Amino acid sequence: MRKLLIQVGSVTYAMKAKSVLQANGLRASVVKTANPKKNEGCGYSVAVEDPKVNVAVLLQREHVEILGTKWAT
Amino acid sequence: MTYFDNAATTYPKPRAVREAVQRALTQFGANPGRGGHEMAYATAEEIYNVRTAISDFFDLGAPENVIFTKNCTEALNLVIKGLARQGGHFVCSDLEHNAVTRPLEALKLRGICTWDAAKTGETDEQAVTGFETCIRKNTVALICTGASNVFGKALPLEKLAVLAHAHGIPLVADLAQTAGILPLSLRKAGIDFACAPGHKGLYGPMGTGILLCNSSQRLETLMEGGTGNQSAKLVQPENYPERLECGTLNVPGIAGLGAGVRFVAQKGISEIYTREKRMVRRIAASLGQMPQVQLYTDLDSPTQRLAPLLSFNIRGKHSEEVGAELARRGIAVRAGLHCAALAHRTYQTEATGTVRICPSVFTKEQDVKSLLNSVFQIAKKA
Repeated sequence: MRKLLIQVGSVTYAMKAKSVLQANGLRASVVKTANPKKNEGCGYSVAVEDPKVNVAVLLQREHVEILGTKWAT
Repeated sequence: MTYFDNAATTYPKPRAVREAVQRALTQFGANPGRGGHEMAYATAEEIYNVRTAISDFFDLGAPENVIFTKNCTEALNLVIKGLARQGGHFVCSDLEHNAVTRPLEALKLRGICTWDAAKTGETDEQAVTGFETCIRKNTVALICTGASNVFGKALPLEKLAVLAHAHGIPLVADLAQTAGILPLSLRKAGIDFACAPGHKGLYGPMGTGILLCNSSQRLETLMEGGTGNQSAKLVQPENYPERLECGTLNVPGIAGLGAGVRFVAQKGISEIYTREKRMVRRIAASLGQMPQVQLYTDLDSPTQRLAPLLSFNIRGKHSEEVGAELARRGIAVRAGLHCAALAHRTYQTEATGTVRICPSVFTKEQDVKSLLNSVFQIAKKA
């Protein structure tokens, strides 16, 4: 199953993103990320399984800033 | 012991609070927002759930803008010093606690800011006028207590928010005596920054407090340090809450605070207020019939809203004398100046202080009877 890793600014935003995505029926979990943004050091992402909707819209509506996305298997 | 010192710290704590603290010590023993292992995630989730509960309770609408502090004083220092700028000016009320006036005076002594205390008068309109009179071109914020921690007098925060915004500045509210007692929607009231203790009306453990940021104005930091994010950068992150929360959080305390907030929400803030107010009215009515007792709050005033607490003195005795005598009789109250010299100056009780009584959700009718009986015995000898 494909997982979309959404990089956010902190564990708080990762928890918020997880909560927003789960409230919208998506399977999401928080994961530690080595470098969400180049030269910034450690941070957190939220992994969402096989998203069928535009998760960026859902998160931006709740003021969760997305620093980047990438696919993981 | 019969406990009436709830305006300082509520006691006892609800069972759910004690259990939440215990559970945190056993289940949430890792640093939230640092590690990438199961317990670190579970702890971070617990902390986030408490942020959400508090955000909902105060209608903040943004869990990430709930900042955990060690008490209300730290929250007030964060916001006052975070807003301060060279040559700035603050206006607070003449009923403020030292948690507001001492940071302001420290800024003044360091040559950074000046401040004035607005006369609050008798009515809400007089309080607003008092603040308006003090506003200058360089005023950076209005600061106001939700209610005096000594006399219970509530101040018109919503009207002061309108006044502050008309001058393009934020309103900072000290909710030390009203959080969990008087209902408040931060978004509706327009309060920009609100500070509250966890250990009073929210029934959390001591060592907990919150700063609620309902403003786009970013506070300067009071402390910098590890936040678990953007760790390669030497500068503090911009994002709340991490910007203002350095180092390891008080996880057991925060878990207990979350249980306290849920306890208050479940009981119903209006029900708690009504019950406590009824008790305070009864105490005031009985004390009012003792000729040696002087009361300072008119509980039947049509123009004043009040937090459910009251201050009194026994004529001819210092408040500390009365407090000590009550303590000998197993009654816990707070006597003296209550860290609020400005409020005592306003009510002209600076020389003797006052004896403060404050019930909680756990106060029983029998407690009230014991208190009144003890005050009666002491007053009789005066």
